[in-house]
Amino acid sequence: MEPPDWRRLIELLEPVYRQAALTARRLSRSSDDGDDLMQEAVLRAYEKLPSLRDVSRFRAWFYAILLTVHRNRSRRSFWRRFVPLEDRRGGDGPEPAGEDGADWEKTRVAARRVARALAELPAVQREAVVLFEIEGFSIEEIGSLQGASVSAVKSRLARGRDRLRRHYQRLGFGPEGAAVPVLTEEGAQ
Amino acid sequence: MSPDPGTSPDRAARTSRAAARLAADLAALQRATSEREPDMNRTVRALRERSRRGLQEGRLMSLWNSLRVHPGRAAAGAAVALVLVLLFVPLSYTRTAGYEVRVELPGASLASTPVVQIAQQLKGLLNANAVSVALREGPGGGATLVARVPAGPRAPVQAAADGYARALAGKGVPARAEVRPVVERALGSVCAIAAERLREIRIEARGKTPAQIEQEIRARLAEVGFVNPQVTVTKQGGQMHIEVRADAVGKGAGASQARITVDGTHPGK
Repeated sequence: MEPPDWRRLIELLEPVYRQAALTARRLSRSSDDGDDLMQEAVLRAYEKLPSLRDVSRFRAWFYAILLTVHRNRSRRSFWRRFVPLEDRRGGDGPEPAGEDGADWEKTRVAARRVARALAELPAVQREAVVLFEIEGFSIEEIGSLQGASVSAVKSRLARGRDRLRRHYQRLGFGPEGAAVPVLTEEGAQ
Repeated sequence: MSPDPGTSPDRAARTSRAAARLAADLAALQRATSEREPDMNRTVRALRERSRRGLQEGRLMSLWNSLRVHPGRAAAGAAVALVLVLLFVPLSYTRTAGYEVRVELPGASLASTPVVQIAQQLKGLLNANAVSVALREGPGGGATLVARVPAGPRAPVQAAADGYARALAGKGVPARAEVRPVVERALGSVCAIAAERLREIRIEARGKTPAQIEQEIRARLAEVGFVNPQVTVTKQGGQMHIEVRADAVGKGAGASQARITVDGTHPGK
């Protein structure tokens, strides 16, 4: 078998790279962790490239690899759970000032809060929620990427949402929490 | 009747508030993760470099991953590695390098006892490498003969030393014999250690009665250092049944295991 060709991979990857990289960040505990996940997925894709038969299905093929790597990392990442949840989520550059600055801070706090909630989900439920709620994939597409039936994806999605809601209720946004919403470092209000 | 707390309008409102906050936070996550633009070229450059540099590391990683996925293979590999280590890596162990036979002659003196002659006899009898003589002066006087005997079964050495001491006593020279193993540290593989500890005893049974075979096995076991060997040999319908019980002498014994072969075959345990 011929060694895989980086140039061919780059051509195929270019149209899907941005969205896949953002998905990786959203599945991970931090943007840096997400970039590592993406890097590992690209490397896996490079190794498996000779086995890609239908180029028109590259996006689904690559996403399936990304999800597999994500699940493998989640399984073996006992120590990863001790990594701080967020480092640079919200940008590396100088923080915007004035009204923009206030909005930026609110966004950052909200993103950290939901990232923490997502990190508590099993990997397949996290994937279902992120792909459906943020990335806009259909249930059928998610089923094909996860190698699961439509009903399984629906169940994962429902359970994931339910657990997230309960997490938010514990933070004070619902019946299980305090009557007065709790103000935490993550900014629950 | 109080309203069911599980379906109260207040609870439903708060649940929907949690859902609304969750939806807003997911949108915030979408925005926050998009602020820093992903850079494909940087990723590919890093990976190209990594794949060039780490081809060998990659092979090790794939081996490691394969072992993680197949724990049975990992266990088998570890067992093989352990066997290889035991076979080829030298281990430190103690072995009997020979015996020191000390014959005490209390009250002996050069004037009254032919000590040198006794020493020469002892050397010849034990097939010793050398015999040293130490004379004690003073009121009691006396001499100690120390013979260094090469490694081998202990029992014959002990028997010869005791017999010689008794013979000297019979001639009017009081003597007391003691045999001490000379132990040394050595390096060797497990095979070498096992070979050293195992003594092969070959018995020719053809034309011999069970009693003769018993006697021969007993004598051979005693030769290689086993004490009080109890041997029972019975023949029934062309089959021979051999039962052996024996104790190895403590530290410094000539052998800790013996393998008995009768007419070229090993009858088993």
